[in-house]
Amino acid sequence: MKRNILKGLAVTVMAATVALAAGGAIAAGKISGKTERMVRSDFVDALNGKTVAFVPISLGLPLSDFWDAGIRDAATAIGMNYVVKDPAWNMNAMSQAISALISEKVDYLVVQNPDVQVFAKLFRKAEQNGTHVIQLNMASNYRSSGFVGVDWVSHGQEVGDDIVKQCAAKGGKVAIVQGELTAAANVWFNVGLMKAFKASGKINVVNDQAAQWDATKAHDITAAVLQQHPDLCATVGVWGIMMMGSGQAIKEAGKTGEVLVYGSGSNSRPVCDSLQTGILDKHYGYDSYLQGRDVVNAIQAMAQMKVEPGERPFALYTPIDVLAKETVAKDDCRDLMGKK
Amino acid sequence: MAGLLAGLLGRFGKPSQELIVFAIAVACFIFFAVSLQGFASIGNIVAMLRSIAILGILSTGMAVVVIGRGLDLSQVSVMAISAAWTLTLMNGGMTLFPAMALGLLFALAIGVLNGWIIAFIEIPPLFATLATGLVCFGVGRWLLIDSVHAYPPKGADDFLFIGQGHLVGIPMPIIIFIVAAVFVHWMLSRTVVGRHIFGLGDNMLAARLMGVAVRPLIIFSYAFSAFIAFIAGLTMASSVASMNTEVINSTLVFDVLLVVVLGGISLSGGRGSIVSVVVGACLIGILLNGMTILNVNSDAQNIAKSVVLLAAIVIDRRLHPKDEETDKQGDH
Repeated sequence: MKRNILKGLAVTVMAATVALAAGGAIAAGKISGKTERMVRSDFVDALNGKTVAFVPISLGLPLSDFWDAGIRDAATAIGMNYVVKDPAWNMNAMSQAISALISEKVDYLVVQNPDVQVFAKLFRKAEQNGTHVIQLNMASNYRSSGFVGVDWVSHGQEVGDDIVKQCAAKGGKVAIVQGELTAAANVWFNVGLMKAFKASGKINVVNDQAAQWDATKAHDITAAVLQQHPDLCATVGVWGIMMMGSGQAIKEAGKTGEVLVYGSGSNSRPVCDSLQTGILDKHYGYDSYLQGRDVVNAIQAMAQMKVEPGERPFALYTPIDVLAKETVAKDDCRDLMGKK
Repeated sequence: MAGLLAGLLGRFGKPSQELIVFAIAVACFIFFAVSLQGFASIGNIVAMLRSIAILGILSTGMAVVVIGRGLDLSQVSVMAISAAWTLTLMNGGMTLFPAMALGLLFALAIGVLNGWIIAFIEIPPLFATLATGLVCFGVGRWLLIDSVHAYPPKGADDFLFIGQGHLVGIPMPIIIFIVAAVFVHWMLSRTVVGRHIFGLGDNMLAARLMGVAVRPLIIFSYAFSAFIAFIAGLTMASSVASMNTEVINSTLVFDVLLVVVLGGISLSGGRGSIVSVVVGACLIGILLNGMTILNVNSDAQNIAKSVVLLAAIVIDRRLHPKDEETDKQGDH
């Protein structure tokens, strides 16, 4: 009898527990008032048939080809339309392409800025016109809907700290090879570098000329600097492909391994090749294919949250992988992607 | 005796532009050598020559065209695309020489096209070569090469020797520049073709009346410029182990013109020699190297370069005033 009562009690408790749990689950599912199917259909409504347009400085570079593929793959997978314009490093063509996309009222405009100033006004116009502007890796002075890319100042500082570690005891002579003086990446990367150098007080920047993203110019500058400062400890620049020219000059002077070459940029095959042959010593890189996916992820969130262009600017900073010549492996870099 | 004195005075009374530029170059050299430690070292002089080698090589080709009263704005584009295509072919598995042969053929095709448009359709070279340069770049980007940069395949050491090797301790780019300069000097001063190019530049109609085959000669001069552009492209691509086709958007072609005009090769044609190219290239090299060591930023370097170009053109115009004979389309 007692046993039966206990059994009955247990069954009652269990039933009550199950009922409570089930009730709780339903309540949780309805906090937003939406079922999973409803969320899914909102997602489709928000994104299906919307257009994302991408304007890099130029296609045909590892960095921008990876972005192109990353955005294209992710956007088309969720039913968005994808448009890319290639201004081939021509600022007029780039400005025309952006203006045309604004007047076509594309939904999302992704731009890599060549300069902090040049497109700031166009972006404001675009956002007033209802187009979200996402600035990719190189920002302008205008805070648009979003920024996806490297956190340049802390990136520069990280590279700078490593140079301080390597060079402080070796005389501390460092040459900076700048890209374009007014490009955001270049400006902020150098701010970060100088922060690290000033904090240590042991680094002497002997040269900081701009090579305009050109390996040949980087080569010539480095060759001249090496003549003047044979005891140079390191040379550093914001783009690995450009720094390969610097590395060649150091190789010609027979100082490979003595003068360290630091680069930054997309982890593409030529970078890994250069690390393996010792042309570059360290590369602070990132996966720009995944940056392309980050862009589309940000677009998905914005679309579903229904924010207006420029309403709540955000930044998605890219994680950095450090590749060194001693440890570089084949899988660390992506193979080049040709034209699509 | 009096005649000799008068002759010498005449020489000094109105010095040639070449001599002026040479004097300026020497003055700059002495200034930098005194004020900058290590400037006059052998190592720095070699680095300096090395840095102007590609500019110098291109200038020898441009000189031939300008002496024939032409202009080749497509030179840098031909250089970039032909070299980048050679690299692309090598990456596709082709060996060095067939790849180079195809690259050269492409360059020559553009050169011949330039010459044909200018000689037979009689389009001014300024417009003709501006257009063919863009066509060359467009076709290259569209059909021949995959990306903006082309890289040599791993292990292409024979190719890299062209730009990175040394011969008796001298870097290869300097050797190539010297060979190109000596060859073009010999061609211009010792061969029939060379003398005819001077004739063509001085007075095309007179040259034609003298029996010079003017049109084939024009085609030859542009094809030669394209050939030199290809050589320069190989040197550039192998010295930094990559060919950046974006170089066509740089000021390189104007730097080449600067070097050519600076030394005294008149844009009116028919005047100057390769010595002027070498002198002009040296002045630019000294200026750029000195300013790099002084850490003058590149925008200021461009200003200095353009002021020098402007001065050279003004001096050119003073020494060789324009007349009906040297007037040409596109000048006004």
